[in-house]
Amino acid sequence: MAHCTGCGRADCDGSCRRTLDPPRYCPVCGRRLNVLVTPRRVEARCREHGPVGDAMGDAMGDAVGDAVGDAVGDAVAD
Amino acid sequence: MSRALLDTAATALLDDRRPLTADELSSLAALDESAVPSLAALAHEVRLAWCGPTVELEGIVSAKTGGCPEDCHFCSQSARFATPVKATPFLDMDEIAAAARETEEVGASEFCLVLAVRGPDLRLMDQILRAVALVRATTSLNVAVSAGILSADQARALAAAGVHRYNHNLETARSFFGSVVTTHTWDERFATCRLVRAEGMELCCGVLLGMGETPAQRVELLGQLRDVDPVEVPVNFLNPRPGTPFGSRDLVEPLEAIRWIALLRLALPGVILRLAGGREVTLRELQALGMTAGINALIVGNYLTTLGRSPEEDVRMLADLRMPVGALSKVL
Repeated sequence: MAHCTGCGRADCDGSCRRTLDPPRYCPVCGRRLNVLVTPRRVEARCREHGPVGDAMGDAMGDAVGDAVGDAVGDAVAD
Repeated sequence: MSRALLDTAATALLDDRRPLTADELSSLAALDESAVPSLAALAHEVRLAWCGPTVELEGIVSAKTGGCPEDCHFCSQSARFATPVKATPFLDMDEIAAAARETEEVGASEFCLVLAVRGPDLRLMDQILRAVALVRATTSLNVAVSAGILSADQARALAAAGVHRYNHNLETARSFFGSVVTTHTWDERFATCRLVRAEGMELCCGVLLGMGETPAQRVELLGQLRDVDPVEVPVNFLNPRPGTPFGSRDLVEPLEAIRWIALLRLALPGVILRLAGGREVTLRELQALGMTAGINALIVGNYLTTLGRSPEEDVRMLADLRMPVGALSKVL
């Protein structure tokens, strides 16, 4: 993974990510994501790389999804 | 000392049914931390006596995110700050309908469409009215809207469309507001609050605690909330957002949060007092104590740009507390 989904920086280990924050930056290119937050869902999408995570069908409290580390506050595992 | 203060407050609110004075509220606000559980217990008793046991659940969705011209220093949706939140236009109607269905499925009775704007223009008003009609047609939810500063015509149009409650927060005390927002005034907010009531909608007017205001300013805010006379008061706690001027502020301590929840109930005994944004990170393990400190409503699920805990956890908590879920609206 090249970029932190919390701050978008390439040199961040993901520790910037705050509890219960959805991903905000594309882990591939670091662009800001279009993020949809509804009562039960979170969907994050990069205009270049498409959906981030596992489409977050029911992502309550587990905002990040596999592709970005699969744990709130632990956004960049790779 | 604390026992005498609590006894006086109990007599006032439970026996005499008279509001507490500003001096009484200030004295209660200054109680030692060890007295907070007793304060919370009184607030719970007052809530049951004035409002009954029912808890109202609400889902919210950000129908238009980011790009806001205002400079509310706590908000990640202001276009004036470099925050991670990317502006997105008004949601598709399909997304609005899906969010409303999610809300209904968890047992909520309220659904609030929230827009990051100073106030709606003609195009936004049209979109809001279409979204309201859609939610009303496809669910049994009561629909609320939060779209900033309104004109009288806009307030009238929303009321006519069936918006039963309009959210417009005071956020903080008038004396502190200038440290939080410079692009509009506290008095402008107050004016919209009055307009909402004048046009027959229920007023939902909330607070955001933990922005650096003093205890005296919180007591000031209690009085100002009374002046605006809301049906609902959402209680938000600052969840510091990266990139905003308040991004490095400390969280309110959990027990201190309980104190102010209780004080809000004691100051406003008959309102729908809703635990709202920031509650997970602020109260941490004290969610249930919040419910027994005067709260009788919750936002369930996710918030506008941040996530909440699962609605199932909240529903289970309420069941464990023997608190029935239902609607508390006074106009429907």
